[in-house]
Amino acid sequence: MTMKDAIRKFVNDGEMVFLGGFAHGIPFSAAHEMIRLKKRKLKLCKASGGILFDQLIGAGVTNHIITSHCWNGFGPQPTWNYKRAIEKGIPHKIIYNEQSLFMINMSFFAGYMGIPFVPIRSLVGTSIIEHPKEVGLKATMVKCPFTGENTCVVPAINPDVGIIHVQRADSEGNAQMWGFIGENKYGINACKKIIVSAEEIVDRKVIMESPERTIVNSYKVDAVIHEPWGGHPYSMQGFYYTDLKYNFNYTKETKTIEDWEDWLEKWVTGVNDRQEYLKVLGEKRIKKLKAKNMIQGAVDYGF
Amino acid sequence: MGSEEEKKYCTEYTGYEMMLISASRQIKANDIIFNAFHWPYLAVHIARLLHFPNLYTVIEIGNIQDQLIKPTRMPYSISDPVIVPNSLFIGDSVDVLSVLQRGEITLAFLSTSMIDKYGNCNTTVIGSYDKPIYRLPGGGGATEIAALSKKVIWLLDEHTKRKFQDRLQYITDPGYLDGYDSRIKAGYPPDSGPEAIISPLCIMRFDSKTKEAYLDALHPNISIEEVKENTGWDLKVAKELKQIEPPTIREIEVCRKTMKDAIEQCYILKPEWITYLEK
Repeated sequence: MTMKDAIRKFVNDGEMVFLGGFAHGIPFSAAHEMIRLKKRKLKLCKASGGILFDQLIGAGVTNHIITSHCWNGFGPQPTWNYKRAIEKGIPHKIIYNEQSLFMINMSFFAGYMGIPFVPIRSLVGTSIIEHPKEVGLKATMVKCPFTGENTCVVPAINPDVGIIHVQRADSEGNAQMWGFIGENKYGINACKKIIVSAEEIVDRKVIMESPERTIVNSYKVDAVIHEPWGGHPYSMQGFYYTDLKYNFNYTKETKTIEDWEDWLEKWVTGVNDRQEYLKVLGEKRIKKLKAKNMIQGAVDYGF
Repeated sequence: MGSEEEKKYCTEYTGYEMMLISASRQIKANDIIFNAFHWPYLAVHIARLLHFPNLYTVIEIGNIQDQLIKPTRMPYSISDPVIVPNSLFIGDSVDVLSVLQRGEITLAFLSTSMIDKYGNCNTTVIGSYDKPIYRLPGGGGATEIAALSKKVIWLLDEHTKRKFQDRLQYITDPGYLDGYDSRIKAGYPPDSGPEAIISPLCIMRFDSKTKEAYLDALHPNISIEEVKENTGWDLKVAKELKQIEPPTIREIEVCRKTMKDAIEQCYILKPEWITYLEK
């Protein structure tokens, strides 16, 4: 299945979509396809939104973001589409459902565990719980039934559809990730429909050689896509390094609406898929970003 | 600090450099540090290079390490893949929150856009939430780091009334909330909370009873009046006001090397922070 087919088939306007990857293995390719297919009114959730959310906001794909942070981590510098939408309603007003990093992670964790809520020790006294008013309850206090202590709890999040970009998967969708996993295991397993995009499609034997690296299993996965470089401009451990220049320049290149429209045309709407995107990126840059081999950590699984 | 050679002071340095060096001096060898990006990371990196190469540090993405990154360099952010093969542990977001909730972090450095007299911070919005004048990045993991670390040191790169406010409209990261025992009443561990605020001008600490920040120590060549004029509340001054030692030659060398490395990793440092860097 191609990315275009998967997004067309499994992502419907108005749905809540989880996009995985905590600054590593971010599904940029999937997000760009949502822009090209003109998806609308998606409710997006992700631990840290970054330039991925900025692009989806600027292209008019979302009207509601659920995240703890939205900025360009390189500099650090502002993300202008995010600021334009919230400060000026351009291209339209969005709801910013502010989370703390670990609050949204615990909500994914509750979704992952199939339970309605989990306690967390961090939110009391902050303004995060009460804002924005229109989204209703994000956290509340309950009395611990065992100690009687007042305890803050956050609700489960179970998105309609989830997308992760991983190092490898088999053709059935058993997906493996290593290095920084962030919220991926909890977020993706909390989702109702699941799309896995992977740098490599491997034989199931490879998955079974180190099964503890698997973060989601085939019986839950709706689509598997072979999408090399699907996480550029962020890194993928063992495959490619972060494109520092591209990330750093992003803020400068999207400062005005005209700048942003040029950027969008160059990298997203002016190309048809990830292969064409890579042509724009150029062979020279791709060669430079490619990770050097560092194979280590073989262990004895004997019994 | 050690030998006579190390005691030679530097005379030309910026307030930003003084802030980083002052912060690096707060670390003790057995601290378990929460190491946040961006400015806090530089302060901890300086301490590692100067005194404690084997400091235990935890970062938001789930790494635990106790040595310098090899080859020695500044990671560009929490997600730099070079961190992975330099770690003793890589976990996920729930692992990191667990370390915090178990109360294992003894010291955390954080930076913020604005702080109030009780050490609460706002990195969310200027103006109202629904009709903001400026939208800021959001707190990320700082909410939990501020809530659960035993000691939190806030770094503010500018000392102005806009950044040091009496009370904040929006609290992203909890400090002592409304002062006195309000933080404990809210359920936070009694042995947790803001320890100090370090700016280019001074170090503030918190009154043990009221939990209001007061001026505890001045950076060299800074007057009490200068600090008071740039602070948005009626700042009280410690009975025995301390004077902070200027950076030593060795400290400033390490600080500037760190800043140079950071710039190479896409950190944007303002020209006035790096005035002496090229000399």
